[in-house]
Amino acid sequence: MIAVRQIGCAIAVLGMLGGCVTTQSGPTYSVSTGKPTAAADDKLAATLKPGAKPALNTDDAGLRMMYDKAEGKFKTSGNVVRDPEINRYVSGLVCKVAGPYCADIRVYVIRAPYFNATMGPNGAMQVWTGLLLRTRNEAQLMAVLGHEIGHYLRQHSLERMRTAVNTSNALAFFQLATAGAGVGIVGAMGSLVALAQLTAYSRDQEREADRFGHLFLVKHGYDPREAARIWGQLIEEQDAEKEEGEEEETRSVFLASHPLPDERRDTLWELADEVEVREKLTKINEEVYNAVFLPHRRMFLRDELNLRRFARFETLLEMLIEDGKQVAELHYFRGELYRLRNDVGDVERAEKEYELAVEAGDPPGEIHRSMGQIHQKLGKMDAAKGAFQRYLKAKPNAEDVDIIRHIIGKLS
Amino acid sequence: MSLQRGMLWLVVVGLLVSGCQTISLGTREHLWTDSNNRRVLLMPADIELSVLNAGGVTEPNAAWTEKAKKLAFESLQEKMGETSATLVSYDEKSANPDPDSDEVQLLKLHQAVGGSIMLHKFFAPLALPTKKESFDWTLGPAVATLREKHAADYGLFVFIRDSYASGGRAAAIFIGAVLGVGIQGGTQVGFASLVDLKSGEIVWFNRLARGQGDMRNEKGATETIALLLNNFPK
Amino acid sequence: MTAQILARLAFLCVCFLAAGCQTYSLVQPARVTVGDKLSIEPDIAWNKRSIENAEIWTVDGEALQALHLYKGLEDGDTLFVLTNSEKQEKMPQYSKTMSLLELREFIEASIVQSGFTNLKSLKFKPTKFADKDGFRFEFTFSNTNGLRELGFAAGAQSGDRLYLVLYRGAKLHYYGKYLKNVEDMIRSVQLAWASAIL
Ligand SMILES: [Zn+2]
Repeated sequence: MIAVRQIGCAIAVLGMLGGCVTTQSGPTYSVSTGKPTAAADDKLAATLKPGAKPALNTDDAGLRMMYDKAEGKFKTSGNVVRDPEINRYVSGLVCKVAGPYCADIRVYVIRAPYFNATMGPNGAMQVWTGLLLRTRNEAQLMAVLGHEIGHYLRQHSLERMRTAVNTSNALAFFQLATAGAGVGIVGAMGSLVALAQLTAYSRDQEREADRFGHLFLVKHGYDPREAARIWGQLIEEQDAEKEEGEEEETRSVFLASHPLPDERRDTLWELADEVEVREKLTKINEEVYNAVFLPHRRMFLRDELNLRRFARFETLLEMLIEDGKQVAELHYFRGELYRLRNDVGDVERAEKEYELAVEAGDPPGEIHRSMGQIHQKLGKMDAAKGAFQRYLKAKPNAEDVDIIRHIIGKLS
Repeated sequence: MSLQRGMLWLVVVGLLVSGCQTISLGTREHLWTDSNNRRVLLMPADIELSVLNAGGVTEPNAAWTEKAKKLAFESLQEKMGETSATLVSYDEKSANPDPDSDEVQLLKLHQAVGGSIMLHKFFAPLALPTKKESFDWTLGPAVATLREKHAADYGLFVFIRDSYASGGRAAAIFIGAVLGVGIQGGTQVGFASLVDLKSGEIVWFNRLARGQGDMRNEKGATETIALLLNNFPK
Repeated sequence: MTAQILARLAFLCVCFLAAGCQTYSLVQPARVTVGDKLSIEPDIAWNKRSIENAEIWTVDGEALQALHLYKGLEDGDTLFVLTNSEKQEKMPQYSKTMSLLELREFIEASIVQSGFTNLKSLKFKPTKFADKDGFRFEFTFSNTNGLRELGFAAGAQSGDRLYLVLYRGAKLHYYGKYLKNVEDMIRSVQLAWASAIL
């Protein structure tokens, strides 16, 4: 998991469990050919064999069984993005990275506004839309996919479960503490899997997965610095949150058992700098990436706004506006952010953002409704009326036209 | 907006401490009016067997689960045979995968209904006064989809969680102390419900909760299923 | 430990998670008062439990259908009170200065913050609520398990408070089962002070 999500306070318990990861010994396989390879000469050697079906009486089979059930659940949760182009694109990238393991992995794009991707030991991978909103080119997305596939190829979940099973009472408490918490949209899984999910991976495993993500970028000719940049962007968001005092309580606890984002960013930079032919690795495929995701970005942004993590969202919008793609909708959402935050001066800020959005051309039709609301707040009743009328024109079939007409009537 | 999801699990655990192993509710004594073509559709059986490790972690066991599912099906089939009914399996592969389809939504609705029955019928502090004397939950008329597709009269839902201690009870005692439940090695909890595929009505519901039982072998599976189908209408 | 003690402990645990630990009581089909101002006349029997600023009514269980009757929200109140304090902090707060459009945003954001997904707005109309100029809007959403639900909110602001009724239920069967009863009941809503003063 690459998650930066709030996770139950019980994670603190895990602090006590650090450092128990056993080193894998056993056959290793080449990610390029799927054939046995010596781990010593192959930096990308997998511990899992392509197409592996563990015998039913193994712990691996039990773990996969639980994840299969969880997969059945989230598949029908209604949160899976079914746009064929998005799915084709993401699956294509996964296959590029996974090579001989391609057929073993199923990718689900999940509509959920957090920076998160997960990988089940059964090959079920989740990529959340909150992540797709933040990765800004193909190289960044590849870095994340490579990281998750790294967890899979090195069987980190299984390793984690074995550690959990071998650790005693602290976990009984942990299990109890998380029993009521559920695991968000993924749905309740069996206690153990929920546990594996919540405990996430160890620091060492995250470092190994980061290294895999990096090596995959290099292998496929992408600019490896993009992996570090993702963390740079996230750190900016977190800093903004900290400044606003909106920092999520559990974040520090979460980080206690994970490598710090700063450390991950710096390590990834160092790895990138060490690459000998780095000058040749410039591919980021920004255009391809944008062609797939920009048409859907409004939905991602709307979900993000609904979280009301204003400081983070403001920072994110700032970065996206700098990129200069479809800025009208970005200004619109920044206006929405200010309008909803409603701090001192926010009404004026919102008004300005909406104006910028209109200037940029082709903003979402809802902008006129929002402008009407802002004008109303500023006492500009004629302007408000005009804006609401423009809304009716832009969205004649909207679900709220009756109430808008009612409001216009009151303004007259 | 609703009661905590986690509660349900605790209610199930709470049931373990009450005296009887099964309690059943039903609305009719006889299932069949016609002697031909008696078909009962077994909905995807949610059965899971696991090891309760010393640390209190339940570790799912795929081999036991596979075997238990097979044994449960055979045993259920035999049970249905007693009223000359045939048990047919719900084929998950041929089911409509659309999350909005009636097929998918009915499974989810049954989870919500089953949970409500457990919460409000088997846990006295949360009893609903209007349902004191009645048992009238239903899945509604959408069940027609299932009746037509599978040509079945009733749908049978089965849920079983079975765990066995693997040496060492330190953690179990630990959990017990916190939860107020003594876990004696292994536990078996589950429920089964029978839905009339004409009306959607839940015509029979039974819950099972005990500190023994073993679905890993034929004899134990038969015994568990017999208990799970306690007071099953003829 | 004896069985009784164990049962009691288990019950306490459950109560702890239910945050509040009320049992359900019976609502007879006759005019009842909810809070100090709002009264309503159901035409069937319901089960109710009380939370801080509302009563929750259900017939078949809250997972299947629930009617939230608010006693009158005041500045700073939240629509739902979550046990997760971090999430509770992000819960939007009611303000008496909210416009109709802001009220909808307030209610919808509260639903999203409670962990429901796929929320979609449907018809939003001005309407009378207890003789006041009020509103009504409908919506659909999914619970965490992907069960589709329908719902509507109806209410009006009066004397700095928001009087609100929220009805929701599973799209399959349970929402529709008592929709008409709920609609009729909402037409029976009275705000006590209104008749006292006018
Ligand atoms: Zn990771």
